[in-house]
Amino acid sequence: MMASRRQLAALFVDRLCRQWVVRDPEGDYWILPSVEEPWEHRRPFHPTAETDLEPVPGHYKDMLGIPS
Amino acid sequence: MNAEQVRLGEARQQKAPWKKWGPYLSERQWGTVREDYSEGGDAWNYFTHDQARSRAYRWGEDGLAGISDDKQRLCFALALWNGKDPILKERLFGLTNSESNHGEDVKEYYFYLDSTPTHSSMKYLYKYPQAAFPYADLVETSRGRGRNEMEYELIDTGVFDQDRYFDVFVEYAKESPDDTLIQITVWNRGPEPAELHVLPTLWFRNLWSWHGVTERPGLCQADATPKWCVVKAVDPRLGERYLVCEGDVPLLFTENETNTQRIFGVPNRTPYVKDSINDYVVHGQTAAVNPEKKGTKVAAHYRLTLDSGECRTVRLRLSDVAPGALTAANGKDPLGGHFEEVLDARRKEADEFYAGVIPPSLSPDEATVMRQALAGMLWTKQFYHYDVDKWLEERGSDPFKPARKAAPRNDHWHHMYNGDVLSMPDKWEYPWYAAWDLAFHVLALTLVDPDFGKEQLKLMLRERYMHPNGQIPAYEWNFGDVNPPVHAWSTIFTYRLEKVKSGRGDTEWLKSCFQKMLLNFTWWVNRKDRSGRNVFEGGFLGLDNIGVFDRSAPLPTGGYLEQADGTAWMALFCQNMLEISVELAMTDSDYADMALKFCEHFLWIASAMTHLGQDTGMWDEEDGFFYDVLRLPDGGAQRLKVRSMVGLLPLCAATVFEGKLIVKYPEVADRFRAFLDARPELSASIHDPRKVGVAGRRLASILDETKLRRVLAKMLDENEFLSPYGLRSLSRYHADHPYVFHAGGQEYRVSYLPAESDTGMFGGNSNWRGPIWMPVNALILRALLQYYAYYGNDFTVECPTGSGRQMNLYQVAEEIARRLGNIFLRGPDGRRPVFGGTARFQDDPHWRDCLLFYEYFHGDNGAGLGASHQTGWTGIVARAMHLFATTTAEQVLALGKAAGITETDPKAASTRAGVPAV
Repeated sequence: MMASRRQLAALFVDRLCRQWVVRDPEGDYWILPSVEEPWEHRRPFHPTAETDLEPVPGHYKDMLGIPS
Repeated sequence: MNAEQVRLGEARQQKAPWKKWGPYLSERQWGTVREDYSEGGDAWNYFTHDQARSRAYRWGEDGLAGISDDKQRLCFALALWNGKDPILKERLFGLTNSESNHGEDVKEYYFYLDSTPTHSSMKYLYKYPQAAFPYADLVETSRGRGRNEMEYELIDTGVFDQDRYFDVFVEYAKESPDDTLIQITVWNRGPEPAELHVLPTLWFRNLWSWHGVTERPGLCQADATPKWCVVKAVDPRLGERYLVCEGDVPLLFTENETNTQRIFGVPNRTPYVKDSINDYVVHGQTAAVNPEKKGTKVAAHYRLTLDSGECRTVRLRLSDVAPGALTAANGKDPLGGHFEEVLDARRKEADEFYAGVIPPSLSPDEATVMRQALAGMLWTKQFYHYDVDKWLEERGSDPFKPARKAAPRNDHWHHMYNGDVLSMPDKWEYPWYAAWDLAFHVLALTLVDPDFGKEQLKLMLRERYMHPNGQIPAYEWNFGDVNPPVHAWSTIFTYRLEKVKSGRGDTEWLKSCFQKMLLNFTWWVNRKDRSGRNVFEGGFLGLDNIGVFDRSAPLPTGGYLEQADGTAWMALFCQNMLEISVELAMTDSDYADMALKFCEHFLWIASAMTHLGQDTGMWDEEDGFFYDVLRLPDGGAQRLKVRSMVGLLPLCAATVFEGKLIVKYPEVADRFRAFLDARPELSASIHDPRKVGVAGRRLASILDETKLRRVLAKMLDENEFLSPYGLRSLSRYHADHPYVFHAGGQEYRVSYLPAESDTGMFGGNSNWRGPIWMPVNALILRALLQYYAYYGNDFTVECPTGSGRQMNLYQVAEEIARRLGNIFLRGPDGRRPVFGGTARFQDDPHWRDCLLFYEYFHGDNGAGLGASHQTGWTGIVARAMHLFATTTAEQVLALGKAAGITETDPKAASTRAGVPAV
């Protein structure tokens, strides 16, 4: 049996667009707005070749309410 | 018992938590491994001083003259602003490893003036320039300096010229375990009136953002009268606390949350972030602080204008009782006359306590040195929090997840959870524990708080610290590094101390430590003895750049090193384990076998050190000295003939035994005798353990009398190791005779460097090629007293070599201790060698008695070098001063090892005015 590789959610910042970006365990990307409960208000995001995502430490995921 | 001893007793018996609050706040949380989430592990550049005011910490907090509870939920510290700096002075500034020409270095002047062990009374001094702090000048000038130049210090910038600075004293006095009085006293030392903003700050460590905690702590303004303002702090676990601030002072509230706009470029969810108070005070942004007077961080904003020479005070009180209730209970103003009475009482109690610690035979200046050394040790406690598994997970390196990134360090230490108050080497330069440093710290800390010493030693052996394989964690930069195994020495020392003082040894504690140290011993034997011949490696072993090349890296020649220090450390470890086994065997026969095991193991190691390899063994018969041996891939071998502390350490593996084991267990003695008879080669080239010395004692020692005399001749030669201020780490012989080694077309050279290192090896911020280091000097003092207890007065040597003065080994030890003490004491010229050529420190009455206990000292003139506040192991000077003020040579002969921890009648102790020739 092949073990499926499940990634962890990862948090990034897109400095150009001044927004948090999350890659969820399925590999989908989301923008989080700067509001209370940002994960609840996430919007789909499609990175382009020009998108520059800078990793943010994992502990900020808790702050933004991103499920682990 | 005096009042402080009563408090220590109540803390020990858990009747009153007198140690719950203390100086547990770090002085630098930025630039640490814990806060580093960079891909490559560049801790210094990932979380910078510039970010620290705006970015919430994940693992700890920092501040000036700060305190916190022992879980660091609530913190208090001082912030200052002189009206000219670009930022509030909320934390100490210093250069990162790459910014300075000799590695990281704090560029501030602050002093730990006093502390009792329960922190019932503490005093701290910070010197704050009135001109703009020269941040950029310090960075740029230091960057431009080479490794052969001196460091550029704050005082060199001229910012203290004309005395244009404030002395800011911070004093703490506990009325009860949860009621702390705080007095801030500011002096304008300058020639003109000057304004200072004083911002006592209270905040919660941010646990709510990262730990999935639903309940959030909070601060709010509770009361305001013309006499005082009150901040109420509520934490679900800590309960309620009140900060009473003198006068009708503005309270500035914000949140201890990251300013995401400044750090990540993403708009903040709230305008109230970590640096809002800075923006309010420095930039006048009135909307930056919360008008609703609530948050998780608050500062009282005092603006003091002081005339030249004027002094002003600000009083505060951090208590678990509301001020109204305090007043109702005893009718006393929380900041009024009673405040002064308590402050005075605690100061007097501190004096009483230290009168019982500092021997009366010490001079007033010696007493000052000893008290400030101990104050530094106590101020250097810190709450240290590091959950390595969580940290790895947060950086995407979860060890149990298949899709993981490699962590730059500590990958194999995911079992680790640290969350305790620990003794740090230096809360700015080394704000993380270091295993072998800690063992030395305990030697000094036990002068004032044996319970804390025991806790510290035990902590390192707990399952949350020690690796499952038995390794003791080194330090956060790489827990897997190998430090010298001195834990057992500190453990048996601490046990004996308590036994002598209280009449009863804590054998349960000793047993539990022994079991864990047994794992550690086995780890060493299995991991660091490559050939199984009882010859050890270990890499740098704490002595950074002492070798010809980096001893922790693959050798440029290939092959490996047989290390004289690694092997000697293991011989000493064996002896210490033997001592513990003997002690435990007095009440538990199981340990008699262990004692025999360590007897034999010591002999295997000692004999391997002296006769293995013959022409290329560690002992060099021609030089009369021990060296590391380079074993080459082609089977060749070569001694690396650098005369350094590496070659003196075999002398330290010496321990006397009173013979109580063989009295209680004659059959063990028979087995040992049979072992020696069957293996005559083992004791042929070391000291014969069967030979009886003074008072029927036996001696375990690598060096026989002939070798001992030869090594001592070099050690006590002022042209080699013996400096006016203790023993150098490298012989001065190499000043004119550098050791040169060629390999792979490259030249490797070791020269005598009495001051700073001229290479970048091990960060370039420490130097073992000449300077004097207190911990290894302490080990040599210990060894000399062991030899003296065995050989007695008949064994004399010339000290210094070539002087014609003969001394017994007690006198030699006392002479070395006297020289070490002279680093800090005012000499006949009124100057303290530790301050070197810095005129202000030597001459100015506001500076000259504020002592700094540096990391190491100039090999020729005793000037302080390296970390400026490494009271940690340099604080051992307090133990050395105490030892020779309370012990006599006669006592050592009569009591043996117990003499070092048994205080004799001070009148009988030698005056230390000078050592008479024998």
